[in-house]
Formats: sequence, C-alpha cells, structure tokens
Amino acid sequence: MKRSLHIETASHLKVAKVGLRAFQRVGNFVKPTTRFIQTFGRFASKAKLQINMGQLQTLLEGGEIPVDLKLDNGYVVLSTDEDRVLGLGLLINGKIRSQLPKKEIRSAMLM
Amino acid sequence: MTGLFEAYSEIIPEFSLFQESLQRPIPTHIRINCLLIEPVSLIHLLEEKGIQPIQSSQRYDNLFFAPGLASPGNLLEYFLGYIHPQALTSAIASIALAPRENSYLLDMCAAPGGKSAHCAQIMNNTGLIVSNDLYVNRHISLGHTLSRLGVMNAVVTGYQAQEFPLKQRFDYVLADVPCSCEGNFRKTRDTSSYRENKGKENLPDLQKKIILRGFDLLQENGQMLYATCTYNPEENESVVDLLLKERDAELLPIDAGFDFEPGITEWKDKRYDKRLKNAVRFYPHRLDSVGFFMARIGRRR
Repeated sequence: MKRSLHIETASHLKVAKVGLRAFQRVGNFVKPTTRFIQTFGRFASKAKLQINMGQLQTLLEGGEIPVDLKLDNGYVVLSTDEDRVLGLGLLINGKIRSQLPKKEIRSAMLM
Repeated sequence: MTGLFEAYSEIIPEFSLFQESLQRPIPTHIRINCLLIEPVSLIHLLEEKGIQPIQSSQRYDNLFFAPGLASPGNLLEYFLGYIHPQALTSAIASIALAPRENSYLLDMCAAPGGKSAHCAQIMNNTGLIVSNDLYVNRHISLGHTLSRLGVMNAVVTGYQAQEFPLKQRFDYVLADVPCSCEGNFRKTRDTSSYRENKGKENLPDLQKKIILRGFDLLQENGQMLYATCTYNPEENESVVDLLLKERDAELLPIDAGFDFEPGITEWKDKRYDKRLKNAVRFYPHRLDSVGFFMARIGRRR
C-alpha cells in the first residue's frame, strides 16, 4: 500500500485503521498477528510445523503438544496437514502452546 | 396469501410469486476469497466435509450457494479467511462496480465490510480503498472482516457519508446506503412481521445527500454504484432521479449475468427520468437472494 499513488491524496484523512496489522506488542515482546501470519506464513522457511486435527484440538483445549524441533524457544508457524496456515504456536522447552485467538477459533470448527 | 408489500404490486412482476418467495428462507450463500485460496481448492475442502456447494453462475467461479450449511461462520475455512458468507446480490454490487487494479475507491457506508473486501479481491489488493463508516462500534466488525479476508489495501475512516471531505476525488465510489432493508425480509415464521412504514420517513433525505456527495467525490470518468436492499422507489429511483436532475450524471448499464428487472420510471403520481431503465432491481422470486436495487452512475468529463 505504501507504493500506492493514492496514499498522498488520502494522507489528510483521519483514519482509524490502516492496512493489515502485522505486529502487536505483548509485554516486552513483539508478536506477529494471526492474520498477518495467515497471509504471509506460507513464505516461512523455518520455525514452522504441520499439525493434525487431533493436535489442533489439544491446543484449542489449552493443552500442549510435545514436538522434536531443532529450534530455539519462540514462535512457530502452525499449519494443517493440507498446509493451510492457522497462525502461531509458542515453542517452549520442546512443547507447543497455542497462540491462536480463542474467540475466533472454536472446537466446533474442527468437525 | 400474505399481504406483504402490497404497495408494490403494480411494479413487481408476478407479484404472487414474489409474495410466495418471501415465505422461504434466504439461502446460504458464500463468496470464496480468492486473495487467500483458489476456488478449486476450497471446494475440495468443503466437499470433504460433506458440503456440496452449487455455483451461483457459470460466469463466477467464486460465488456459491451452500445448501444445508446453516452456519458458515462455524467452519475452519471461515477462520482462515477462505470464505465470506455474503448474499448473492451483495456480491453482485462489487461485481457491477468492477473496480480496476491500482484504482482509488471509496466505500461510503462500508461496515461490516463484505463489499469492501470483495472490491479488494477484484482489485487484487492493489490501489487504495477507503472503507468509511460513521459508527465507531461498527469499525470493529469492519476491521475484523478486512483482516480476516487478508485485505491489505484498505484504510478505515469514520466520517458521515454525506459529509465526507471533498479534498480528493475517487475513481470509484460505492454507496450502499442505509435503507429500510425490505429486501432482507422473509416471512419464515408465523411471528415474522415487517412494519412497512416504520422508520422510513427520513431515509430518502439522507440517501439523497449521500448520493450527491458520492457523485461530487468522483473523478472525471469515475463511476459510482448506488445500492439499497429495499424495494421502495422512494429510496431507489427517486434518489437517483434527483441526482440526474442536479448533476451531469449518466446511468450506465449493468450486466452481471443474473436475472433482474429494469428500474421503474413511474411510481404512483411520480415520473422519473427515462434513463432509470438502466438501473436494476433484483427480486427474490427471480433470483433467490436478498432483494436489491442498483444503479451504476458515471461522471462525465
């Protein structure tokens, strides 16, 4: 959008929201948003993990899934078996916790 | 037979069929969001879940009726932004406007954002869309829709549509204005009722202000789509007729490939500009969706 010829024309408008939010601050950390990851996560070359519906269910219920990833602790791009990017998980000491928005993704969606 | 909308018996063809159609629920209709997924892949995902989508028109590979799918919002594909539940006629509005890539578009009354997001898809996420809605509480649903559907070329503003700042001119303006929403009504339960005169009195004045401002915001050769989901000529042809009287506007034909009736040129004791035949009326007994009115308006040089 930065490269759009119309940005200058629109610059005097009082705006409430611009484009697709990429990051948000969580405490002292910067976290990519779910929607940003869903749009661009397919370009990730590492720190990504495919999970099945059972594992997704576990995450949505607040559980953790053990994984064997040679990665430092941090965010991991989660995708389904069919490589559909869901959002982020958080890898801590060999276990993934959900960072998916609870209000927007529900167990009913896994039927 | 129900006495609903009897006032329109003179202008709605096959009126008894129209009234019958109001007794059936509006079918579930989805738009596949091609910004995030190819239609073929999405259909495959739905079929695996036992959903058999039916293409709305051979011309559009991303519009589908989804019989038996009561709550599309409960699908994982909804969360992923692959689908947007949207009435077929709502989707036709963005198709009729047909904004080109890299253009500058204003959606004057944008919430909850389905049409803005559809325009973004048609523009392939290029150019700039100003998605405006006066009410701050509606910005939440608007922002959510745009984010969920991967729209990157939109900004959200909160101006009164009829007073949107005139400092810039747009290639396209979408004016899907507040209306009495008659087209949304279906008498699917005995308790369903529609008060045909409730709250309508002030709408035409507001709609006339919005259409004039929308037109004034157009570039030379720009195009505006004026749309309502109502049958009432006072909110439709009467509003466009005023614009044709007060501005050097032209009415452009709409060819979206669906059954429609032309706009009317007479209503009670009123006569409207003959060019209103270029406007379109969608009725539920002809196209099983929300009743809609659309006029595609061009600004001359």
